[in-house]
Amino acid sequence: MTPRRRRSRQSSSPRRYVAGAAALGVLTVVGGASGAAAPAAAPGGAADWTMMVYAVGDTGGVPELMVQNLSQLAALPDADNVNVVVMLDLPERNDPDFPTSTLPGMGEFTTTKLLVLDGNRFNEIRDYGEVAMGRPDVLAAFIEEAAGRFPAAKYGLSLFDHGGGSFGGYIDEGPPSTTGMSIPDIRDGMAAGMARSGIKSFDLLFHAACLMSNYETASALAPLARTMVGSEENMIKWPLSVQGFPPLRENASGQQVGEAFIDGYRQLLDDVAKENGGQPYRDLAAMSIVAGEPIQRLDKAIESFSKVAVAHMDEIAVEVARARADALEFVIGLPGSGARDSIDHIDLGDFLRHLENLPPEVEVARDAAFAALEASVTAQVTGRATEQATGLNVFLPTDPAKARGYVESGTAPRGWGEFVTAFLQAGVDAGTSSGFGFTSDQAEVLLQDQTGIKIAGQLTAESLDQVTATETQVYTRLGDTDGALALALPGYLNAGGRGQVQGVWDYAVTTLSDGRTSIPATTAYQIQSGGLVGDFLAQYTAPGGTTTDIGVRVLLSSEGQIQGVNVVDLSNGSAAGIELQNGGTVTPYLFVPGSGGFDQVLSSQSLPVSDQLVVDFERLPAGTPFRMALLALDVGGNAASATVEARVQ
Amino acid sequence: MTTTPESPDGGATAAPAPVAPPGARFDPVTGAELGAGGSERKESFALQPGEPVMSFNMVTSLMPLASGTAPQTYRWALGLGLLVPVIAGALGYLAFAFVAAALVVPAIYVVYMYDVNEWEDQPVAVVLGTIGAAAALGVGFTFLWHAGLLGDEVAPVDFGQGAGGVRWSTLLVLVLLVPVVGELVKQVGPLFLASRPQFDDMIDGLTFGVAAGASFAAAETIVVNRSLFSSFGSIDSPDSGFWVSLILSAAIVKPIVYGAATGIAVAAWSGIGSGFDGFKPSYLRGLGEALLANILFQAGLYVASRVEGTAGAVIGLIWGALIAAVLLVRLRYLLHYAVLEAALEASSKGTTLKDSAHGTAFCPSCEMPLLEGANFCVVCGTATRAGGKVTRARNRSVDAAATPSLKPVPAGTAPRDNSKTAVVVGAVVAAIVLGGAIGQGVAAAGEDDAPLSPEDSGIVLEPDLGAGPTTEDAPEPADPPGPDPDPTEESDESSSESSTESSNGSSAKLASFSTALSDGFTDEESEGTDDGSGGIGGGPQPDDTTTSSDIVDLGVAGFRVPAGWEVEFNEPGFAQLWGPGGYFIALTTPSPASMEGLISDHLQGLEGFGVQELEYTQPEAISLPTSAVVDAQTLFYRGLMASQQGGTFPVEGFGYYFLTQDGTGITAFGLFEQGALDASTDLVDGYNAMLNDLVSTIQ
Repeated sequence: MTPRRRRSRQSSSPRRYVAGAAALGVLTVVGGASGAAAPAAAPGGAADWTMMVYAVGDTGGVPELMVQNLSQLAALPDADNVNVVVMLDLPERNDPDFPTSTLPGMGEFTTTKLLVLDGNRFNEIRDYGEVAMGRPDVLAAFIEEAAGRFPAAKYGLSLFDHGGGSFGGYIDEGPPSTTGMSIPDIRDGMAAGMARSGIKSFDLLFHAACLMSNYETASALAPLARTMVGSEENMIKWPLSVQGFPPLRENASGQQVGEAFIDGYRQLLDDVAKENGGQPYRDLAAMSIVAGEPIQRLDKAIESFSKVAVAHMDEIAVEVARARADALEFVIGLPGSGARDSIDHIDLGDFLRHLENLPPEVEVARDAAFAALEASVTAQVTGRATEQATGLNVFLPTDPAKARGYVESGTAPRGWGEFVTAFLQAGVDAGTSSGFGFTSDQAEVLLQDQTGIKIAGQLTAESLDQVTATETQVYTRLGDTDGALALALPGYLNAGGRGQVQGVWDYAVTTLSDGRTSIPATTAYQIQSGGLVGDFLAQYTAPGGTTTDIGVRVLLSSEGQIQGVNVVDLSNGSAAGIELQNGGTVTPYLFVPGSGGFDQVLSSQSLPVSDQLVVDFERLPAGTPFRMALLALDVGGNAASATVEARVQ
Repeated sequence: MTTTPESPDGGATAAPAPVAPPGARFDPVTGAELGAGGSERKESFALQPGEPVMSFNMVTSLMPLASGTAPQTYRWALGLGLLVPVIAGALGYLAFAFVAAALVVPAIYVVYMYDVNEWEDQPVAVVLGTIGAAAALGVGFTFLWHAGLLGDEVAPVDFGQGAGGVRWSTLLVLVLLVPVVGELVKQVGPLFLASRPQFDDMIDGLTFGVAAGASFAAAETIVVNRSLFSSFGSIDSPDSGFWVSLILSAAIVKPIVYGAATGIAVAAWSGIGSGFDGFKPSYLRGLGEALLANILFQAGLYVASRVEGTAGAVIGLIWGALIAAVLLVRLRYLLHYAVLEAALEASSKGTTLKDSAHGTAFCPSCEMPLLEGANFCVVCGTATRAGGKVTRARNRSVDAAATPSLKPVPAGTAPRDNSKTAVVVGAVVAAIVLGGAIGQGVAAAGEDDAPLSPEDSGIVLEPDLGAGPTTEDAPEPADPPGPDPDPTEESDESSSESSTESSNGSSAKLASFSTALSDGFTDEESEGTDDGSGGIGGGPQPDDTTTSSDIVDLGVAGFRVPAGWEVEFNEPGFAQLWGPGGYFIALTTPSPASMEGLISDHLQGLEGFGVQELEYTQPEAISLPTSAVVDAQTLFYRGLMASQQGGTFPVEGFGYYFLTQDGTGITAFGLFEQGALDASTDLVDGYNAMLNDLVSTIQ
């Protein structure tokens, strides 16, 4: 078993305080820009490291943060044995996302430029004009040119932009056309560039993007990189931590540099929490380092697991669905929200842990896959909300429509693709189960007092072995909207008796608050070991008037307190960090039952962005009427419910 | 040659001895070379004067009566006869090739015996007494040691990095029993015939001995290659160098060695002069030489068979050729000096030899007239004994007493034996081709075209829960805010318990693997083994006397040695065992290994070991037997192995390949003769036990 660094998690002791300046304390400021011309290659021949940064900046929501992040690198001391080469594309000047900052040494620009960091400034090597960086051939050309101009003993590649897990990312929305790279595209681009430049393997591949510590990505890129770093979760603000760069100067290994990157991001999150008045961001972090060679054995183990699981799918489909429902999910979807629906990325290891009641040969294969996963993940940084994370997320949908193209596009690793296909087919084959449901559509109130309410519903005998997930939903008036879905909370199967489903609620809803005004938002929560992890959607209006859809992810404690928050830009189907600027406004989305599902509507209430803006969990006023429902789902996606109406006490 | 004088008064009135005329090169009575200054006649072989005594000429050595133009006939026959099986073997028609190869020398020899009328108008007795008896005894004896005594142990399979164990039973049988008993068996018919008055001549004895030896060799070749008649009778991509070496060995080398050795012994039995000498020191010497030659021949083949591939076959061929060459030279010296000694002895006693010339007589070689009473031609030195029986009968008879059975010839014309080259060559080639065709036809009829199938092998890897790493439990979810839900009632409490139980049981096995085997079984294992199928994975149950020496340790995994199996070689990372009808080999490949690499290395290794015409199924993924393994595949294969000594035998086997969590590769494969798995439950049980032990101990 490969020795694995212990996961770093936030302890219950006072948070580690690191001042913003102190976080950058390792850096020494070198006075003045040298104004020297950009060198074509590091002096004295091959360097120890060449770190390539592929910064797709012509994308909604990221240019400003990207320029700020890259500017931080310019403050690093020069190192003759390290080359930092950047390919950066920025939007047009009339684009609302055009950055207000500039890179040290560079003025404003809108095209794609090849830059090298030297003398505490970026130096232009050449201007490509407008190229679509969301194309694999452009990525290949960048790798080839960077390696050709700046040869080194070790090579690192950082991909910087929106990320979407198994959906790929690195989306260029600017001219000549909008392009984005799927996982096969990323692999093809990297492989072509490496072949042309003679790089056998990258020593480090860092995804400065959301959700890219992803099994499909790792599997595709493992032959190309010895060490891969990324986040299972969303990444906010400046993902390319400056702390990852000093070890390059010491000719550290890819693993060591990767550890420095994730440690640096952890410190950043602590700093951001301090700036934003105390709501921790690190509780929602899930960074991980995976090793390339063991990933190839993980592939074999997953193939073996898939083979036996598929053979037994008719026996285990319900267990698979249950495990999928209980596993840590990233970006929990809100029902019927279309593009904002769940992206169906769950933690692979947590899914395997929850998979129970299996035939022996499936159990053996599951154990082998879990062990192989553990051997692949060499380091992690997690928080309370993500303490169940094991290093890699993976795509496992419950709706066959969402899996269209997953296998055919070459995204799915072979074994996993077959497993997903078989699981979805089992759901289709299950069809509509007659007899699935509650014995009564009226739930029973077991307990109601000022602390909260507990209700229960009894499933029919036929339903006992078919139910895969349960949920509790609370509907009430939110703002001016009647009957809106306030919360989706866990349901508790077999609580209090076999076949009984219970739901509990403490009368509180998720709100955005500035200390004086609180506006509720429809939020879906998933129970985890560290608390309840929830997601809600909102619309952010920047001071300049542009609007962007954002996702807010929160950690809710057992005491009903919001203990962790992160905010990401969801403008183009993937996620990236976003900075909410004071002077802007945030308007939550509400979900209201409609024909065939839910309608997503903007709340009539908004709040201005300020330093006082927080996410809270507030009790509804006494007497507020509400409807509470218990939901049960089977492997075919059929739902049954039992409801009760009451008032807040 | 006889000392009995022709004249009834014991030689007192014998005709005066002929005197060499001026210019004669050889003495007509003694055959001595005149003008040689008294030195021994070595440059002129008494039976074929155009050659020295020291010569490797197979035709004149083994067919001494085919003098004159006749040697060319038999050289043609031999050359074309060899070409037939060689071409067939190079093209992959193995059944045809080996049957044809077996028939080359016997076919030529039968035609030779007819041609020189060696059987004195008693063909049935001669053919049955030599060829028939030898072939029948050859079939019986070969079956006895090849299929009986050694069974499948005769397979000279030798694997591993430097595996050098010698199986002593095989060695003793092949290098002592086979040559010694075989030589004695070969002589049964010829000795009987050579004791008959009409066949008491030394050259008669030689002829019968060679015929018997060649026939015995033919029978042995067909029996040891009998598997070609049920499978692999023809192959698509033959290794020509390898197969041609084996075919040449069967066609020419072995018949010469066997025939010459037996010929030497039987000639010594017959002795000089009429009657037979019998069990005299000269026979014992001849027998000793024959036995020594056979033992050396077989020993050399045994050593050569341990060299892999074509190199071993070529070494065996060269060794056999060396032995054959020595025997040919020995045979020539024996005949040469026997002929000269008989003449000298008769001359000193004043008697005449049986084949001395009388009346109108001509040299069987140069056709010059022979002097009255001459034993040798004065011109070329050929002995009068060197002619065929027809010629000799005519030369020794007075003109008026022509043998009625002989065809009348015009006066003054030298008698010629029946030697029409084309007819002889045609007859030989036809016999060889016909035999080969029959062999190929039998092979085609018996060929098993059923595709390889991994099913029904009887080998089962059972998943060993807890044998490797286990999945940690899912964390307990946090409590929600508000009232607590009631405790959950699980629908099935037993599954997690049974998993834990099996995990504990397997962990106990792993933790104390060596100890448990040294101390005997734990109670937990003993309880489940009453039906005899116990042990890990259901193999044969080792008895209570199991010791640590019965454990094979590969470093990353290990297994117990089942009863009836023997460790031939064991070092870290490699083990080779021999059991009831098959081999089991296990080896490790250090990390990072790949499944593709394990499989290709294994298959290439089999080809390197000499498995020809290797066919194998597509590798098939199997359910993981333990979570310590990330990938497991299997395939089945079959092929053909061959050696000069062991003949050809089809083999088959299985391969299991495992890739562990840390990237180490483990290859475990079995190799056995085709059909052995069906025939032996002990073999299957042994494989099951070892494989299941192996996977259970992978960490």
